[in-house]
Amino acid sequence: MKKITIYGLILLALATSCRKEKTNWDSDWVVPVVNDTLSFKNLVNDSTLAVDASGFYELDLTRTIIDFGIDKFIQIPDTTIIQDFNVPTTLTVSPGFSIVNQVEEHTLEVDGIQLKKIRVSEGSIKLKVFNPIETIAFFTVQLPGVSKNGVPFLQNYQAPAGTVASPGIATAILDLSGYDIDLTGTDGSAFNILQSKLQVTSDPNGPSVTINGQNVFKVQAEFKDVKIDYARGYFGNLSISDTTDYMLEPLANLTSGTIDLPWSDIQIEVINGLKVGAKATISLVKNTNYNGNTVSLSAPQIGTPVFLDPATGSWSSLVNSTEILAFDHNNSNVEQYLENLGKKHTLGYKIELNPWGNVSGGWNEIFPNSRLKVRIKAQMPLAVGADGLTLRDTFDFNVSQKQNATHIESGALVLNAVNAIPLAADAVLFLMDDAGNVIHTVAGTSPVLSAKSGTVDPSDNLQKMSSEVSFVLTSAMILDLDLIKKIAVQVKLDTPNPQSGFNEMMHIPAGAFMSVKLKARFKLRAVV
Amino acid sequence: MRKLMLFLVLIAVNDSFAQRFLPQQHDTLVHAHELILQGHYDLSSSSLSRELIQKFVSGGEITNAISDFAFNRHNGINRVGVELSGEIEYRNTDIKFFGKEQYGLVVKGGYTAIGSLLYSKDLFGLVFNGNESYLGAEASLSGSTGSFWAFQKFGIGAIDQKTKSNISLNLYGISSFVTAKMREGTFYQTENADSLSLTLDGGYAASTGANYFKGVGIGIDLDYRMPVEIVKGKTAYIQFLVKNLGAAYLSSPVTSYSANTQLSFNGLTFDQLYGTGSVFNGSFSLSDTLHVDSTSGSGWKMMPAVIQVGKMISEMEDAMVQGFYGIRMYPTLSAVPMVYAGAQIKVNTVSFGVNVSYGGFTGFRAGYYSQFNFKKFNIGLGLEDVYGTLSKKGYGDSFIFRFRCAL
Repeated sequence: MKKITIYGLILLALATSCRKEKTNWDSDWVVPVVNDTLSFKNLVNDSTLAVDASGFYELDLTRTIIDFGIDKFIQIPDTTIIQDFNVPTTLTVSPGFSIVNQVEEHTLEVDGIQLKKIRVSEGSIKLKVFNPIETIAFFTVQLPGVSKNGVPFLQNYQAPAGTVASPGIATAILDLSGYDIDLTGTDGSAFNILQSKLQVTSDPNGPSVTINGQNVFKVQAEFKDVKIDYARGYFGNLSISDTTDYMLEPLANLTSGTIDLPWSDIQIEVINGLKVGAKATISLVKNTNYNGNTVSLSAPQIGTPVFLDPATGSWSSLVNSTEILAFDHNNSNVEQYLENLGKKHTLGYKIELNPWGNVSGGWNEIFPNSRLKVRIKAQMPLAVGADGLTLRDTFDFNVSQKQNATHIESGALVLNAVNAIPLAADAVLFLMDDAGNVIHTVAGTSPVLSAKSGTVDPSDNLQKMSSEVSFVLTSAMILDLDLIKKIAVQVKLDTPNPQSGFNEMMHIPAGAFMSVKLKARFKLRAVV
Repeated sequence: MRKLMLFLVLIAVNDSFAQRFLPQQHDTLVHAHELILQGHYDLSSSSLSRELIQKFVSGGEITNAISDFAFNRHNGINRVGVELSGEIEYRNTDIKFFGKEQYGLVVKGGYTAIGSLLYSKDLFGLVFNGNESYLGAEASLSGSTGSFWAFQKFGIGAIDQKTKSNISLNLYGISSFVTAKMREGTFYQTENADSLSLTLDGGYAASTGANYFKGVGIGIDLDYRMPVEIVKGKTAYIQFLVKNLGAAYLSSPVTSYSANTQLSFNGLTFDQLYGTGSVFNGSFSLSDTLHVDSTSGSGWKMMPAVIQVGKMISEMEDAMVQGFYGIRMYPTLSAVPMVYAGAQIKVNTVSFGVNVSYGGFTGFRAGYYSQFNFKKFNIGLGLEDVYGTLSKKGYGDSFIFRFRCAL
């Protein structure tokens, strides 16, 4: 019995010696995270890069700020025209008898504009005929002056029998695309006039019917959502003024620092593709940078109107009329304006049509390809002198792990860069909570060195410099991984001259790039 | 300390009884009531050190020294198996089963957890050391496979009083089922770690759901003892033993994942890093990237049976030294057939046994047991792998306990 007790105690000891903690071990991992190449085409993707004769990039910051077509100047309102008639006496109508009404004119309500001809690009007409007699009736609807490819508008309808109180109705909706509309009326000298004509025929196979003055035949035509791509007439003394903003996104992430740009100029082009004389005034050009500093372009041309001749030619032979306002360092503060690195640009303008009145004899014309544009053109060598120019961008981050499950203990992000751009970059990561408070700051162990510190690669004749930068993620940072909801990447840019050690203006060679390979090296603690 | 105590007990106990399979003794005495309680814990491996395996049992940190030592002992393909079981069995020969004088009643119940893993050296290296040591080299993961079962058993059957052959029909409650197979798998990463490629053709399935029992099964245990005359004039018994031969229906959903993909990854572009599909904004899916298909359903699975055929020790034999030998197989697990042989020395009521075996989930092993017969009951302790149990550098761990009370 004593031995049994001993055995029992031993077994109990064995049974209770089950694991008190989880099994765990560490392993070392390294995985690629980012493999990409930054080039200026990546960074300035909405601009045009050209290569100058010296093999350096030239930056074309041309932006079209205003681009108006015909719809900005002429809108055709939804219009309903109604034509009705009756026979003033009592009349017995035999089968197949026709009654023809004369042409009627209707005014198109377009204030201040005298349209003589238009072409419809889209829109519809809804035709509705009303038959007040007791047999079916055949309606022929004509819109004189409305034609497509030379064929006049003519529609036939069969309306069911009706009564005076409840006429028979026939309805149809027609696409008006491609129709030309002559708005000069029956005598050919008026404007804004639509015409209609109606013929009604009694049922040729029906009985004779008696009609009187109470039997009103009617057609209703609704022009709806009509858009035009051609117009002729006098477009009035229309004036448009506004202030418009546009963003230069690549500059939106700057947070501090200064930049020195080479000599450059700006041109504002006003392009008139309308066969209408116009007057344009640029009233304001300004930009606002990352710290709210605003610089207005100051020059004699600002606020001074320029007169634009009408475009010449027609349809495919249309030739625009263009006026250019040139701003350079002699007549303006354009350099100060550019070096402000504005991300938000504002342009104020006023455009007036027919500033001299109706001097064209009512022969203003707008064609489908007629545009009135204002464009800013800024072309400069892509050269930059950066002194602590700092960009910062923040992105969301959502990775969590549990300490009692398999997790990362510590690690580092290792950046291998080949830099062919004469810019040095010093990066810092800010690990932030949901409210944007910085929990940890991870500075790179060294900067990404400028291409100017490297050697020329004979394969592409680009000067290149390789760098390796580590961002060490300590255990404390990893422990706070659940709290980190945003990561801000801040990069400070300089253009150092390796010989002098000072930042200088550097031209960017064509094809310049920075290849980036980012690896994550970490210690994984497996917990099972 | 625990091992030392165990060793001392094994040395000190001079009268214990039997082991689970190694060896089984045969006697011809008829007992009206017999209660057998046995437990078995066995970890064995072709390459893993007992120290490392023990960490998965006792918990704690697997240091680099432990994993490096184990890694260096690995071959191209390696095996590891685990079995933990406890069973209580009651035999009553007063009850005449089927109304026949010859047959008594057997009722049993128990718990078993059993699993095995066949894996490549590189899989071990990746899991325990990470990929840094594989930079510039291809890691082969092909052929790795594993499975694990945990279940409870209740059985009822008949025993032949004369031959002690018995059979029971068992009902199983399945509490856990996991299986995995890597038909083809390679992992390669360039020396400077900037590019990796993965070939993956494999699957994983596991019973899921909150229910404790994930399914039910039905099967048999068979212990058939056949008298033979190996030495002229002496009867020996060959035992044909089958445990848990049957099938289980897993009613709780078995979630299966399968992948057949070739993946190359050089890193994300900045657009991928910042864009709407960024890995950091929660829309990234690793399973989608690896083209992992997921299905869920119920179905039948074969139970992890154990089959053993061998010559038994005869309790009725007067000889002081008897030999035993046989073969053991795990048909559904990643094991090779294990052959074993041993000898027992009997001095009065005390028996000592030693045995050697080769195969199963490991290579060569040497075992030891001691047994003692009290008047009404017997107790025994044994090890199937003495070296593994006592040395950290061994390939496994084993402990067997058996208690029998007969009236």
